[in-house]
Amino acid sequence: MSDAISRRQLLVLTGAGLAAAALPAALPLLDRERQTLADELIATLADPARAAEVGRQWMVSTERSGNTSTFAQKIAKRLRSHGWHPGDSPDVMRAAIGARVRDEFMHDDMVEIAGWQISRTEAELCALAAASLGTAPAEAEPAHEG
Amino acid sequence: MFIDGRNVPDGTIVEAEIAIIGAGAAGISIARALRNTDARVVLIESGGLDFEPDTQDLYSGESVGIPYTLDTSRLRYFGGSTNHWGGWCRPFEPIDFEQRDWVPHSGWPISRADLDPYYVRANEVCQVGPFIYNDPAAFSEGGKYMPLDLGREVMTRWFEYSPPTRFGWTYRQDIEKASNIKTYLNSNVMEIVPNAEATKVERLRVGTLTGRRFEVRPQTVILATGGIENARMLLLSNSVEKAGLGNSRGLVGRYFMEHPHIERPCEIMITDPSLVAPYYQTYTKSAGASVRGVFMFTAEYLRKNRRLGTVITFYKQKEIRTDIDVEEKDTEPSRDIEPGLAQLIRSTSSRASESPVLAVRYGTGCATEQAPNPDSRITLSTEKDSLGLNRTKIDWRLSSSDRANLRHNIDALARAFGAWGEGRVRIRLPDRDKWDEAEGWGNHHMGTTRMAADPRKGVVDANCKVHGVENLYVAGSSVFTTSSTVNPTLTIVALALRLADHVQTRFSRGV
Repeated sequence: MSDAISRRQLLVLTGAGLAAAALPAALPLLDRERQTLADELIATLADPARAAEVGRQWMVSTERSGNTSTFAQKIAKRLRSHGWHPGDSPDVMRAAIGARVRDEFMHDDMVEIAGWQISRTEAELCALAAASLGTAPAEAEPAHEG
Repeated sequence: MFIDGRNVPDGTIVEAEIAIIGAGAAGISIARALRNTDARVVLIESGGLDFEPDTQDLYSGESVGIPYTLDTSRLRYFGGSTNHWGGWCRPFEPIDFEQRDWVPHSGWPISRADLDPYYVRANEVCQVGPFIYNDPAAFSEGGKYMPLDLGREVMTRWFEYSPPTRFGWTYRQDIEKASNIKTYLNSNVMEIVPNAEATKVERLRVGTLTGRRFEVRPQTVILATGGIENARMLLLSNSVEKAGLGNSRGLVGRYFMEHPHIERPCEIMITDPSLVAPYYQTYTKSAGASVRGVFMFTAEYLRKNRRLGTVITFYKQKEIRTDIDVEEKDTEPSRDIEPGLAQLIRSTSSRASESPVLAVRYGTGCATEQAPNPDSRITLSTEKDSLGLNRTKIDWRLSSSDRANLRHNIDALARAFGAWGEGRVRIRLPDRDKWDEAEGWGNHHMGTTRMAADPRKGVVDANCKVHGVENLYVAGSSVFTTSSTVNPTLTIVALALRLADHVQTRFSRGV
């Protein structure tokens, strides 16, 4: 194999470099999108503070951690299969959550909190509320090597 | 005619075409069905017309398995255990009679269709009212209170209530005035004595607590002393067949079944109590019947998931509000999340209405089916009663699979309420490997002289005749092959009426 960099490889690397250079500008936008998504999801909750307590207890009992971004993205991914798309109205989102929740029950995708059986998406909505309100258990620090 | 056995001279021999041993739901139903026929009927009852402690003590015995009270779970006087019966009536489901390949020893030699006409008659005997078990509020015609739509696994079914009928009180005059029936009270059958080959009953040895001894010599005998005592009576009848009459294969007394009851196996939270029809929560008048709605599991679910059945009742427990009253606050710490859960349901619900009450929590009760188990059994104790007869020894057993079955059924209930949308279920049934203690039972004694076409698999045949004994029949829940999940009395009476028809037909043919 030649050590020389081909013109095509150079072009690919340059493209990657350009993309990397653009990232710092793009990140705040993605964060804003994620935050908007999280806010929209939390807005579907009738009582976010009480939901956050449910979410906190679930996270503690299952030794689970997470932040608003991860929970929001997990939920959003599931809602897409129930007809929701970014930018849809709150009513569409609420309907998609309802359909998703019922679907999870039908398929035995339940989690337990103090004996109560709720759907996975419901639990993650509560965890999202907990993360948003800062009551979720702290995420574990990455392990330092060496 | 009522005769007090204590006044019958020693050595008296009473001749009859038909002898019925035991005047409970089955015995009285059969006697009534045979009244004013050409057959001379003798009805033999251990007790009198009222409760007597000395007679009741004949029911005492030994419990060596799951703790079980033999003396208080049944009553030994005219009317039998209907004297404390709760009155819950419902026919068994068709699937209950089927051979289910996932339930060892299941499969009756008769079907639900065989009993259908007798269930209608049993409904009358039990004074239940119209036979409307699956459509009590005429839902088929747009009835007012629709049942909850819980999908394909869980269904609402209804019990109908007997007043409850105290058979001894309600039917005493029918029996007493019947020209062809002699009822011997305070008279205990001590042994059913067969011929030397043990193929035919020749006589009944009868004794009283006062020491009198006499005999009844019938052409046909119907043993109707209850789900436990029927087995004991056959085991005690051992002067010819040492293992007991009808017990050449050692099956008499085996397969004892109960309906394990668990208090509050789960709780149900429902957002809008107006969705819950009154009949779910209490006795409710509907179309001339008194009904109660319960949750049961569909045949489709039971087959697909290879489960046994469970009946779940529920009742209002507490409103879930945002403003929890400190004094009423539950002591369980987990209660504090309930308003949040109620709001969570409302968040995704399209049907919930605005209300100061977020939801209502309902408590539940359940009775569940146990799989037939040959090691769960009635035998004779070495201890003797005041007649000198061996007392009952009961070894009631439940298996880990019985408990797992109940747990899976409650999981299905949780799925059903979640998928419905307006409810959630909290499972309280503690996880454990074994089910080795009684958490409650229904006083339903079943299976100890089970029905099977094959003599190797059961004590009585499809006509309730003891295999190998040509003139001995058994009536009562001891003939149940499997236990279903619903209360047994209506089925006991239906089977008794069917047996009465069979015996009467046989008698009219001169058999």
